[in-house]
Amino acid sequence: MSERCPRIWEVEAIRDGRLRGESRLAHERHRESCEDCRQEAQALAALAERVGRMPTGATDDLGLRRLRQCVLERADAEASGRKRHTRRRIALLGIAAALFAALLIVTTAWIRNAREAPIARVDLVVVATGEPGTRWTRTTESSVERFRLNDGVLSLRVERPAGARRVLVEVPDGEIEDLGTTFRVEVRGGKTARVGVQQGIVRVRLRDGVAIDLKEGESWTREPAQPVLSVEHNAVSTPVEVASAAPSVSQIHSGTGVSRVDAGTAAPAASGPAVGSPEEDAAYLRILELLRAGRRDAAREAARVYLAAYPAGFRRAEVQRVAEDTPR
Amino acid sequence: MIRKVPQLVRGSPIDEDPDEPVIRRLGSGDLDALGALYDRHAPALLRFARRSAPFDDAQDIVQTTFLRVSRIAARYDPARGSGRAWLYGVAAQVLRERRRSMARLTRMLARLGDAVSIPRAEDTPGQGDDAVAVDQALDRLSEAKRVTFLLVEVEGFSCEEVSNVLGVPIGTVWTRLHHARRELRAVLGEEQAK
Ligand SMILES: [Zn+2]
Repeated sequence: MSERCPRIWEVEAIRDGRLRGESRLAHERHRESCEDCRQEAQALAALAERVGRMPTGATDDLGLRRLRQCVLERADAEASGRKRHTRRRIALLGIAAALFAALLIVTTAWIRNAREAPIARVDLVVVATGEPGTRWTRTTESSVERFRLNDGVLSLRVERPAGARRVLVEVPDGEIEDLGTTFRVEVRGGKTARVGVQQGIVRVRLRDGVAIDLKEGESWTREPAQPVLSVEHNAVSTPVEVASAAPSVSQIHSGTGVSRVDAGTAAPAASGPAVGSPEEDAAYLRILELLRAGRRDAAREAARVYLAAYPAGFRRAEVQRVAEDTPR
Repeated sequence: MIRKVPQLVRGSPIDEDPDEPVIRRLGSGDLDALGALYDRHAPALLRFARRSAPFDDAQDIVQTTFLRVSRIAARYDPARGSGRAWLYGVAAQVLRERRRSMARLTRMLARLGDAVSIPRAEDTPGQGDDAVAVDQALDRLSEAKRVTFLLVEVEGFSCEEVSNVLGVPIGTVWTRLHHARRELRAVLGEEQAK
């Protein structure tokens, strides 16, 4: 290899703004007559250009809009949560003395009535009942009402106004978050065996990958068999969905006896048009267009068609809202 | 409609930053401003995330970035750099955190004993061999070097801006850039003239 120009490092230094003013001008004059430095400058520019040219996949309009809606909805929910929180803080400060007295009474009652009695906190009511032989504990923390269920069957009735403390049931293999409901958890042999919801919604998160929301009348039961993981990719699948494909370990049973797996965790439907296909996108887009045009009836109808064609579609939850025509 | 915003001229006065008033509005709780900021920057941020992330969850990164931006907009200080640079700084932070949680997810998947292959760019149809080579070469860089290189060489930020948004000394930015270029060139070689 032949000796390269000793000033070649100056090329990078100029590119990064390390060499300025007179030194830079001097180098630029040198470059006019130095092939090495000229080539180096071209090579650095070409490298940047080459990486910048790397295709990053189609950033389709639909995906961008979907993401936009998601971002705005979540930001909105967070912001109203913050406002509520602030308002409540002010209110709480206003009645601090009364609250303090109330808390004293409540705490005393809580200690006296142990576990079975309704615990009337200012904002949260939790009635917890363990079946005979059940091993469980309850602790009240500033932001969480925490239950630990080691073994047995625990039933909870929760009245939880928005913004109230979270209610968490820790099970040996995960946790169940209550979102304001009546439900029942069964733990056997160190594992959650069954979660049943009589009212409201609970969120089940288990360490073996189960992550589901259970609604009224639904229950989740661990299947005795080993998990069968069939993960399929298609054009619009993301790793998030890959990860949540794990809940195929178990099934959700609705009250009507129809068993189903929640959207997003479902493998593409065996029959009918493929979930995540361009056809699904088109069907979804049609609904959006109708909504934008203010044709709510037509949008509702299109939403029903979508739901019938793609029962496990990626936009099922969104489309369901349109079909039921409930404001978000 | 998404409109392309010309990159800021380096060293332009702060009061010309079109994002500054938008971020200020967002900081005062105006969520429409978040939509405006999204329309302006999401497409490019998505591309940045796709180049930066060692896995295909760019959308998640962009979403997390904008949600965080809406929470901390009130703290944005225009004296410390342009709104766009600040936005990319937040994205870089999200990327860093994501890398850590991704490592956890990988461990979890490994424990499940399942060979889940995460789709890489080579699975995307319509990409040439060079794109795959570039993607893999980027992948081999450390997170810090990759992000620094992309911010300067692809997104067009100055080393000073990158030093500001990443919160590292400018000498570190220079060093990372130098090593990133050397490693990329070693893996990719010089491109053949087309
Ligand atoms: Zn030279």
